[in-house]
Amino acid sequence: MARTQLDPTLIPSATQNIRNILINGGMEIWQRAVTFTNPATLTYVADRWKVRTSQASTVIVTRDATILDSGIYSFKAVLTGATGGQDWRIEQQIENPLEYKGKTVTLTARVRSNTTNSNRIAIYDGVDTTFSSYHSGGSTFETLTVTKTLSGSATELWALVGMLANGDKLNGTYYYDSIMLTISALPVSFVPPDPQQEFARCQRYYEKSYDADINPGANTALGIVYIPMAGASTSVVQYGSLQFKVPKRVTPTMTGYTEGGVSGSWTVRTNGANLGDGTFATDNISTTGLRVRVTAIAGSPITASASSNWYMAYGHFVADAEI
Amino acid sequence: MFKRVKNEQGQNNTDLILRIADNANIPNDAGNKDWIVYQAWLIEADQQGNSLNNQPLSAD
Repeated sequence: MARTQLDPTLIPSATQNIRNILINGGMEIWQRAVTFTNPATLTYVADRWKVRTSQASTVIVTRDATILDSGIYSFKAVLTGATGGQDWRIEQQIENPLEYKGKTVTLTARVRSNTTNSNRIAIYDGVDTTFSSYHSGGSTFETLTVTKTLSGSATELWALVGMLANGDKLNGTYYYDSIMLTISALPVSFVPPDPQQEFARCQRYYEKSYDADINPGANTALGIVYIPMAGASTSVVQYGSLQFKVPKRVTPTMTGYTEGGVSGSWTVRTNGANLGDGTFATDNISTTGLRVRVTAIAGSPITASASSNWYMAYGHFVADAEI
Repeated sequence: MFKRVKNEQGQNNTDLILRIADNANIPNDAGNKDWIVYQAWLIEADQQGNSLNNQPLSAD
């Protein structure tokens, strides 16, 4: 009996299995919002991507579902107020840059631009920056590529996309999609990630109780968290435990919201009724969870502290551990 | 702007600070970007005589 033999042309090559160092390179995940008006420098827009600019106005950033290169969304920026001599870009900082010291990495991105000599991509390693060529401005998606051997003393690893130098910021409409950073001396085509794994990778840096497409602060009960409280006094309930779905990069900043969207507040209730809103307070915040207190409850309605364990506190939360 | 908060013993909670703009709880973690911003703000505030040490604790 003849042995079954594999056709070597059908075996995936090593390059086909290369992992994207970037998270959300496909611009599919937008937990904070899907539209941003004049986002300030260092504001996160799409997950893991933040704006850096010398001039925040006048820019509209949106998650776009009509003009894209891969997946179901792309990153769109419409600039109308550029005055010359300015820059505007998005960037992703890699959490563990020291692991890439001395290695050769290649960044590729699909970029669409309707202006010449404005958009390009680059890699920064804390020592210097290496740039790609500019997009031609031909209003079609073009593949931009840059390869860099990181310094042996590299302290950072950033992927930069947009109008990178002073004067590059021009009025126009720009799309960014399918961004890939790999350990490779050659460009690697974008590989769509597993959606569940990619979302969990984003949640290492930003997690919310809301549904993925609902903005923090929205008036909604979907996803709201109810926590039993183990202690109480007249205006305080406390010792509730909140655990994250994904451990965080660092101890995160915590923001609470009522169901109606009031920032900084949660609601306390018994089995029978809501008792009122109070301050969303936290302690023992760690990378895995925290202890919740609700303080300064309006009207000091708590009367049965000896049997406090029927008090519940509920609300939404955002945990932000971004770089 | 930021505000100090009490811990459950009613004392100044040195483990976190409140960001007034959105009532966010910012933990004392050198790797937290908001704590880094707070530390920079604190230095500037102290230089201008606006130290948080001069502010009362928020009430429970």
